[in-house]
Amino acid sequence: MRIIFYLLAINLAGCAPVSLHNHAGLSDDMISPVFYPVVLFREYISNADGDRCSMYPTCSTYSLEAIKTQGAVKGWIMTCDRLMRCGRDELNISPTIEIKGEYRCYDPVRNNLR
Amino acid sequence: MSHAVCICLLILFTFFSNADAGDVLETEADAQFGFAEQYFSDQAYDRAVAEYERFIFFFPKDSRVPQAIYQIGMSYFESKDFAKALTAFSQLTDKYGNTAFSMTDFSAKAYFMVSECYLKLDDPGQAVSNLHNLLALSNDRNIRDECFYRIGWIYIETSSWDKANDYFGKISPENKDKYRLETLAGELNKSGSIPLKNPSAAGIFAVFPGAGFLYCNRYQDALTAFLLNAGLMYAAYEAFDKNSYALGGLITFAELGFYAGSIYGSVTAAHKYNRARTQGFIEELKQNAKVVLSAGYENSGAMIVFRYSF
Repeated sequence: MRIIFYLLAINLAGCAPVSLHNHAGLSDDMISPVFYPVVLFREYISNADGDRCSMYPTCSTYSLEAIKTQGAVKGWIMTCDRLMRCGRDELNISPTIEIKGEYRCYDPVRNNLR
Repeated sequence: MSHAVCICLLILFTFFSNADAGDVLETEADAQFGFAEQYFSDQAYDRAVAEYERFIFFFPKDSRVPQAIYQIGMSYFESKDFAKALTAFSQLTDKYGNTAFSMTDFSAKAYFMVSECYLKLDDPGQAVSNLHNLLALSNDRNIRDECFYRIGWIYIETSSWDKANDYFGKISPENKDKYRLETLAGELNKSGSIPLKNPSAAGIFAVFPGAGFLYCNRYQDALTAFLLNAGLMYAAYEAFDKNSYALGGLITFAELGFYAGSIYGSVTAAHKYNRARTQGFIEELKQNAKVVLSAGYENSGAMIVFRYSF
């Protein structure tokens, strides 16, 4: 049981935003409670965990955008999907772009709609 | 007496000064246009636009005004400001587009460039619509054939193979060799053999966590989806079995997200696979069969450049 929780925690903590600014980069229209898990992650976990996400946008940014544009339910599903794909086969499929001198796999929300 | 001499001198002076001004004006038009051209060929597009605009302002009756407007559009196009390029080319088509066209006219070339701008702005529908307008306006066989060819390629870019074939079929027999239609038709027939994945099948396979990703050749994602879902399902079972309902509910909520996510991800993975394969096919088609049409020009007159790979 404990091992499963560790697995989940490692999977979720594997991604972190590149930078954090003013309340996890949330704009005023993102104050709904559905954003709280991502806010908590960005404020408390990612700060300590550091910049580790190999995708662009980062998983937390992707999650916020997915929830904002697709609604809470589909946004949550897309977030889970992204967390499973982050840093794996997607690196060989999606194009690479340079962000602040580092190469990242470009996988925006719009590439995963349909 | 002195008044008469003064008036005569004034008349003579006015006469000669007018003649000189005419020469200077003509020379200035050439110089101004050449100056703008120099900036354009040096790829200093911002400055080229300013100089072409100066030319149009000072010499609005000059026969090169349409060319100057076209070059303004090309300057914006080359500097990737497609919205402004579209405005410039549209200005040309609106102003001079109601006369008879030929392939050497800047109006006809502007119509083609308007379509190119729409394509760059990711609006293929408008690009096709604009070419249909040109088809309605022009009776010139070469222009019409180029319209059909361009529309065909726009449909290829959107994977509408049948529509593309329809438009290529409308090209006149005289120009079939020019556009290498035989080679193109042969290559286009291979579109049926593009290896595609069925997104619905991927979704159905994904009912068993990981199988959908496996179907789309995503082995690492498949393993992750399987382990994560299996682990969370087992954790939820254990939690409920030990009467930890709150914890069980929390884990179930997370698991539902990951389970639905693996199905959703499998479907989008199939779409991505198909897009990548189709794009690869189109790129190969371009390499093997596309005649590149570029609306360039020389100072001596307009020209169309054809290029294809062997």
